[in-house]
Amino acid sequence: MQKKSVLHPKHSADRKWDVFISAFNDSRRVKSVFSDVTASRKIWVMLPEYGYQQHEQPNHSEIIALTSRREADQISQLINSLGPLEDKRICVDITGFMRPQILFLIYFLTKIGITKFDAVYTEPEQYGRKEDTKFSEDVEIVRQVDGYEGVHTDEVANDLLIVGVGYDDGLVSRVAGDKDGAKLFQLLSLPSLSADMYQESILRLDKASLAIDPALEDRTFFAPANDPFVVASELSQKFKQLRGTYPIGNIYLSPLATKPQALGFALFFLHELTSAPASIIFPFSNNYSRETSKGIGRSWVYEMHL
Amino acid sequence: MNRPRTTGNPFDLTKATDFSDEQIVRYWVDLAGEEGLESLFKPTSPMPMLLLGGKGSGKTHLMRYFSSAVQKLRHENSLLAAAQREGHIGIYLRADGLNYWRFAGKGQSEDQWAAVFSFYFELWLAAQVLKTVSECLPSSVESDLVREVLGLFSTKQPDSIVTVQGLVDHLTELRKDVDHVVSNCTLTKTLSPIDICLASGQLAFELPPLIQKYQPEFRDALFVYLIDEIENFTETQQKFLNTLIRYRRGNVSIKIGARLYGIQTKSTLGAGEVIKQDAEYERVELDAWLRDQDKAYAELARNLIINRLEQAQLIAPGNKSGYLLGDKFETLDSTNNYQAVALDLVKKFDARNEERPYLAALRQILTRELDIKNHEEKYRQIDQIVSLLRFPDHPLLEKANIYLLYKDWSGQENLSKLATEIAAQAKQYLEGGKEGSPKYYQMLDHFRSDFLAQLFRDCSRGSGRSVVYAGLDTLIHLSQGVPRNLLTLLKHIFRRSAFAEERPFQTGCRISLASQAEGVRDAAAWFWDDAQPDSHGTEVRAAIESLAELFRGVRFSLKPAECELGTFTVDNRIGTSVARSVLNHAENWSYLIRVRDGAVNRNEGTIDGKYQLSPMLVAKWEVSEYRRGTIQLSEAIFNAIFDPALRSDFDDQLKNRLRGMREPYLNTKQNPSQSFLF
Repeated sequence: MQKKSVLHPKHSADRKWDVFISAFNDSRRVKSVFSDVTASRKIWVMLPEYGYQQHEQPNHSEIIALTSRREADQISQLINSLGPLEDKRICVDITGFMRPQILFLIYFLTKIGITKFDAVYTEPEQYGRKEDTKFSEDVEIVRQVDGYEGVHTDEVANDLLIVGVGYDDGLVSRVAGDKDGAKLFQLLSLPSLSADMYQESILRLDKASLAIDPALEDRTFFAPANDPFVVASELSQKFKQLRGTYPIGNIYLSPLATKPQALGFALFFLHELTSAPASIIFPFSNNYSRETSKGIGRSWVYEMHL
Repeated sequence: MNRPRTTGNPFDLTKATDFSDEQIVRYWVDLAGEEGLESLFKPTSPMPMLLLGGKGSGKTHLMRYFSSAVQKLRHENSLLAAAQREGHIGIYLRADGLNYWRFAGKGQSEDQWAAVFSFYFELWLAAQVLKTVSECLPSSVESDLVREVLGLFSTKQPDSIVTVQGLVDHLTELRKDVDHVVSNCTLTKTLSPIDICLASGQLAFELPPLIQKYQPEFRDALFVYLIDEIENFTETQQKFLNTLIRYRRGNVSIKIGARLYGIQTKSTLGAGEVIKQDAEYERVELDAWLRDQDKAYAELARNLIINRLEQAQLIAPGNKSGYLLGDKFETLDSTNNYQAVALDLVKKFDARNEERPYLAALRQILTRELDIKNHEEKYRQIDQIVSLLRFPDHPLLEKANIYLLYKDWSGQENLSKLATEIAAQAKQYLEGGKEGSPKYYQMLDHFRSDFLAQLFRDCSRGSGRSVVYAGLDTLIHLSQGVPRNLLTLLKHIFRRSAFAEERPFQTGCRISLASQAEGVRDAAAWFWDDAQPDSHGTEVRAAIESLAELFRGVRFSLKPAECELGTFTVDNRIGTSVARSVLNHAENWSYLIRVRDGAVNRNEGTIDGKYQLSPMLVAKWEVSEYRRGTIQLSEAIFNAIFDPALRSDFDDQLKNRLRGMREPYLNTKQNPSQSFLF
């Protein structure tokens, strides 16, 4: 049964994790959770997107440095490096991973027969630089995420694009611009960390929205920022509603908000859209900020059943 | 594409991708006369075309206008009639429907992807062609046509397919088979299950003649593949298109729409030969072409606006010809050197008996710089100078006078004498105009708009009012040959004006200067964000910001070296490769417009590259929207602006460049940059 609960890293021994995997970056919330949790094996993953040099790697016995820039190859390398995982209790701290990596991870685990694992996510206390927080450097390409490439029809008149709207309005514009013939629907995350973050994200969304669609009133819906299971459920309900309202051709999803939201998108897709002309698309950058947040908020653990 | 969306703003829909087919027709506007867009596009010419242009230049609208779906609307919904009367059948295809990024990487070679993509593309293309013409094919010929089409494949295809719809379904299934293998390739690392059972070009070039054979009424029609938005195709995918161009034959033509930067290669697959412009294809840059047709574009722009107002029922049918569009926009009153505007700007100071800010600034500088030991004499002279330059009824002339003082300040022994001469010139000009003082007249003619901009800035600090860009002619000029820019400007202006309850475009109403100024600023912000450069976005934006800082520094200095500065030149031989690359990207994303023919470098006898800051952005930094003034960039400052690795030099370079303009009172010994040539 899918379950979300609060994680107290220092009191996580009862979770009995055999393997704890986390992507290293400069955030305190990533480092401190790694330090505090209890697991038989703890593994740091060095992502090439962060651009760490060898001398910047953490001092730890088990580090896997990923070499490829492609999420499929990255996750394959990671999982294949871990050894046999059957009957192991696995926990992945998704806080430091990129969304496409998180998405492919879910896909890959289902393919290799792992149907249960825990995902951890720690909220920041606040994002740095308020409404000008930039999460990504320049977008290089908007493309399908590995593992989520659907078989599409050649009729594009009724394309649908559902974007999980996040803090980075540039990403929203970029994705919407790439599929500018599609009907756009926006999933807003609520409640955000705090009321001021909601205001900030609305400000940024407003900046993006003028470039997108003048008639947005009927195209916005909401889901919690930190509950992938509710996100998946909301997407499912919205999709049913849309199928009853509009003719739908191709479907594109793009989770640009929190990482738990990305988990939710993956669950919805894998559960309902694998046979549909649907894909998850994402704006890929070459480089990502190593530190976009301040402080440590709540940690959540999501018991995933795939 | 049948999704009409309308709101209260007649300019809301700016993208042709959002238009329904009916709206493509409804919003179509061409240049007057025979040399219009249709003659540019040449829908019945077999010569392939690369139709390039910036975002919003009208490529999609143009291509869709000549597509079969829209042709039918012009001919009572009959494709047969359209083909006979127009001489072509336009097969419109949006490249992003292919999700082409799938056909790259994943551990496969470029040759493998070339073969797979070519196959997939032709299956897609052929299905579109068949769907387009199927309604025109007699059912009696279907099975024969289908048999011949299936005969184009190199392997035997199912005998059970006997209808065109069945053939379309079959092509779709073949495509899906490829999709499955391509999607799974991420994990399987192989494309070998794909059975490429078609030679390249077979369907693209052999299908139309077969259709003509079985539908003779198409015999004189050219099949035109209108392939739009290919700018993000990989190099291999573009080579495939180039190969189609190279081997084009029969009653088929190809027109490819892409952004300015969109063509990465002219090579073909296989031997890698390049396709030759004018011999094998023609290249059209749509926005550059529109910019070159100054008057014609201005008329097109007016017609575009009137068309939108008509659709929104803001102009009654039959009232179009008498409609004075320009009158709907308030403009700055330029009479007597913007006298009324300038007096309005300074009135708050006059009302408080405060010295006008630019005169107060002059007084401050004189106090600091005049080297007169006797304090009483010093302040007497300062008062005299300020008094001489003061022309209370003509604030713009006061600015001009101050400029002349700064211009000739350096090395002057007697500023009072200089001020007296300037005052005399100003009086002569006031009394006799150009004849009264030709020199003064010429100076004003050059710098008038800069002085006005300075006045706005001097008098508006903190009040939110800043430089105004207003009037229909100005808006058309800002759009720079890109219809979407014009529509976006108007969309934002309309929003502001409607919010201010000005009832824009309604009888007896005018859109205020304030609404236009704010709307232009909104549009500039949109343009800045919308360009979305690729992975070079940070460098490009930083470069443009630095360039704009230079232009702005010149414009608002005490002694601008150039009037209406909006352009720079740079020797094509200088600069780091990174700087050149960033410059190129800035042009590709239309932040900069390259001026055709460049500029003669008098020192070197060469032709320098000449670039204008996009007028759509000028409101962001309050610089000039015109090309009148140009500065030549030295290698040092060019690199400092365009090369991120050398950006740290920019502040010093800028300071040096502007010192003579910002501190014109320094003599040459103190200010060596005064002798620095741009």
